Amino acid sequence: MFNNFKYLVREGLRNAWANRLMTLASVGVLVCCLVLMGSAVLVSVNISHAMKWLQDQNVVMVFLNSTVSGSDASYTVSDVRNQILSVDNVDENNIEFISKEEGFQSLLDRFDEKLRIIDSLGDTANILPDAFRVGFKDPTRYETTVQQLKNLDVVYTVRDNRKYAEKLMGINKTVTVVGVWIVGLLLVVSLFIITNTIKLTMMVRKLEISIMKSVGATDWFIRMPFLVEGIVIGLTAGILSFALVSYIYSAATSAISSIMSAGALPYMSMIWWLLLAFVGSGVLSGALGSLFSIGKYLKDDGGVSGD
Amino acid sequence: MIEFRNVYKTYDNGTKALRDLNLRVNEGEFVFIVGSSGAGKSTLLKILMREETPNSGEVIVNNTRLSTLKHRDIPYYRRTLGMVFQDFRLIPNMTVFDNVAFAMRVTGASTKAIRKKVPYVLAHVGLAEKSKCFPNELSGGEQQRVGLARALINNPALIIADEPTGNVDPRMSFEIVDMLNQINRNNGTTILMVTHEHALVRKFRRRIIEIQNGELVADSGPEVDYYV
Ligand SMILES: Nc1ncnc2c1ncn2[C@@H]1O[C@H](COP(=O)(O)OP(=O)(O)O)[C@@H](O)[C@H]1O
Ligand SMILES: [Mg+2]
Repeated sequence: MFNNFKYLVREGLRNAWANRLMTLASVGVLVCCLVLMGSAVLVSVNISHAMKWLQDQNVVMVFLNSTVSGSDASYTVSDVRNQILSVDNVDENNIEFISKEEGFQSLLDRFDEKLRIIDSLGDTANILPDAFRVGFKDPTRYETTVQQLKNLDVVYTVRDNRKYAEKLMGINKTVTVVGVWIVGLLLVVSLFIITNTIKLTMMVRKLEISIMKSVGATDWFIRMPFLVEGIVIGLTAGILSFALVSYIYSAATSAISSIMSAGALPYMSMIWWLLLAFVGSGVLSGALGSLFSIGKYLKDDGGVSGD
Repeated sequence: MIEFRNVYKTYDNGTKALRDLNLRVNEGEFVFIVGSSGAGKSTLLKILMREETPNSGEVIVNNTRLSTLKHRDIPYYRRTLGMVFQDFRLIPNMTVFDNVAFAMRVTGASTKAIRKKVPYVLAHVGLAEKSKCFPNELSGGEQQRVGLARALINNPALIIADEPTGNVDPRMSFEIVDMLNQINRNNGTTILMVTHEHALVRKFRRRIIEIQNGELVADSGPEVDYYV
């Protein structure tokens, strides 16, 4: 059966080539589908990564409602520090005072040139309060500790990273839902196109198929070249979209890492998984498309004498 | 070898193609099937090829009840048959050699076995020199001999030919039937051949079955003198 295998693969390649316009169309649609699917997955994975990073920080910003630095200070820094340390979960080794000037500067640094204009306004533009960066000893008591900090008189508000995490989670859900719909739709379209490409080959090869049936070819023997054709389409699309997404991702991550301190997931860490996923889903859709198109045709025992 | 018992075939559109057909063909017989157009001759052959199934009745070929054949058994059943068609059914972009080899490859034969057997069978039908030709480079008679070579390649016990000389000039028609006759005589292969050509039927003097309106109306009787 193995010299047959070689023969059948060659036949499949011949089909794909003889039918190259439709093959190309199928590859194109499948590439679109895979690129969108891959992007959605990568965005979602990165959001999860950022979320995890935020949660792992286990650190909150405690903004104070009255000034503790400068000439008009109503409390001293160490007074407030002691108040904050009175909350038992606060880690005394991980607490840092950030004056409003420092906070403003770091904000400016983060946004770079675009906000230089604000810088030029000087101190009057600084509406940031003084703050403490506070770490927790026990991350599991996060919620209650945040609440305890908020209850302190001196505290104006606590910037809660978990809130950001929740927001990200919301975005992530939207990306996932939208992604699933787009991908589902495109998958149907790709399957439809692949199925039609292969049906076209089948029309061209009708005589051959009927002769195959008349001389006693099994279903698998008849199916194989079409399966190969579908797999060739899927494989090509898988590799192309992998290359495309890799390019987009490396361009996007360099942009993202400058804004987001969490940074994007390095591509290299998942390159094999991604290659596998792209090629795998490409090949799977190609194979399914060809099996769909020929399935009904094979069920029929007729078509031997061809009329 | 072949037995039809009370076979009825009605197509989906209501056409009654066969009505209560009873027929027995022994191993090694050569049978001409005659009858006017639309009589049901091709339907009878299609039932034998397991391309159509009867609505009722039983067909037995080589001890196989065709009604018990499952979809996956059909290819293996068909490998025991050789089929020859009026329109030759050759693949245009394959050489004579490849057209014949194709039927062998389908059965999972090795390239080595194919290289050995195909030239032998082509020589047998007098086409040794034409093995690299394409079908459109051959006359009708030659194309049908390629069809015959393809039908013979897997050593079938039964050859079914539906108007094999319909697209072949008279002199070549004689040659083709003569070849079938030789195959039958030398190998004991059972042959069923549908034809409209009375000259051929008279010339070869083998068993004749006539079908009209889906019914068997005349039968010259089994050729008991050839195989007992
Ligand atoms: N697939 C089919 N569907 C419907 N009617 C058919 C089909 N095949 C043949 N028939 C009808 O069945 C009858 C017998 O056809 P056929 O067996 O081909 O006759 P013959 O080969 O003797 O000319 C004809 O009336 C023909 O029109
Ligand atoms: Mg007919």
